Amino acid sequence: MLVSIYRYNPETDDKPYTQSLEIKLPEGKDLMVLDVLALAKQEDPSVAYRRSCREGVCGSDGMNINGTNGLACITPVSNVVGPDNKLTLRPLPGLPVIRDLVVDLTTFYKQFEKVKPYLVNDQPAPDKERLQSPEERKKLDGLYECILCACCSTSCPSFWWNPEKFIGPAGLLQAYRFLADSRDTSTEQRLEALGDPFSVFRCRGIMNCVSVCPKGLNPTRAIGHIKSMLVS
Amino acid sequence: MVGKLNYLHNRGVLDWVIQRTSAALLAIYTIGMIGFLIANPNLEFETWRNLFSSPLMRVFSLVTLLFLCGHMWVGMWTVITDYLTPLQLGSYAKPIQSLCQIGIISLIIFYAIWGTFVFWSI
Repeated sequence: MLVSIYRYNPETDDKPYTQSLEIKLPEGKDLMVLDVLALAKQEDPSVAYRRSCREGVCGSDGMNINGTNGLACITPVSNVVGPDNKLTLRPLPGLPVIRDLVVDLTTFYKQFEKVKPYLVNDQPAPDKERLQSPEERKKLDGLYECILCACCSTSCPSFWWNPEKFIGPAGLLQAYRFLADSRDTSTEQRLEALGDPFSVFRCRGIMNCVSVCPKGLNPTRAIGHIKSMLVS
Repeated sequence: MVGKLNYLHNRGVLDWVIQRTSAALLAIYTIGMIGFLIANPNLEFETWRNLFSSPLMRVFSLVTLLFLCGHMWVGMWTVITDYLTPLQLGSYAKPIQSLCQIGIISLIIFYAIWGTFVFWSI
């Protein structure tokens, strides 16, 4: 299989280039893209990428695989490679490249931090825990599962254009996760902080975030709920 | 969907409400005009004049014009701040954005005055 990898080392390269490697895959096995990258690294040990859990939990190996963002560890090669038997790997778009497939996620995390992704409750703490009914708890399904792999935000044109001002789908999914939480008491303050023209309202409902989310989450729906809360 | 609008003092919420309400009003106006044109296949100047000389139609047209201006401003401001950013234009972004905004505001004011004059002179 022909594997093309985006290569760029700011310390030694003037500009990025694509390196093509011919990788021999074991027969009768449908490898994950991360396995192919490991084989590529055997060919050329200088290829840089992030990885950790290798089972879609840590969110480290988000990258652009044949034009679509995804996690290399849970993307089977057969799902992304066409009849040309070619695999093209690029870093997540719209963020500065540290090296090869490793991007600088500082902007992404800054936006995440803005939404105060933690429970705020001004009531005295109970002896054991703050209880929720099963119905209240159910509202958090489809929100808390985000692993912050950045596949969604880096596939969003609004995030490419205004990365410093638009919070992006990942951050907004978490913003709604706490707005929807019955134990959180700062709903008003959270909504006030989101009312400017950029933080939420730059979402145009393109839904790239939904189509790339490796966990099958729906940030567009969460953003819609935030907008509804802001105009209600 | 739109309720008490407790957060309307926020610019983003206000823009969103303007864009949606004006879009709904423009759609109603357009459908009304299409209906009128279908109902009057051999339209003559007198019929056209009678339609626009009624006070109700004049006020409706002027309100629609006002909403159209609001719709234009929110839409164009969004386009400018999406595409003419420091990422594309570096330090020139701010002055270019300001220049475009002044141009668009001038054009919108001109359209509003011209439109009012047209509707009121029928």
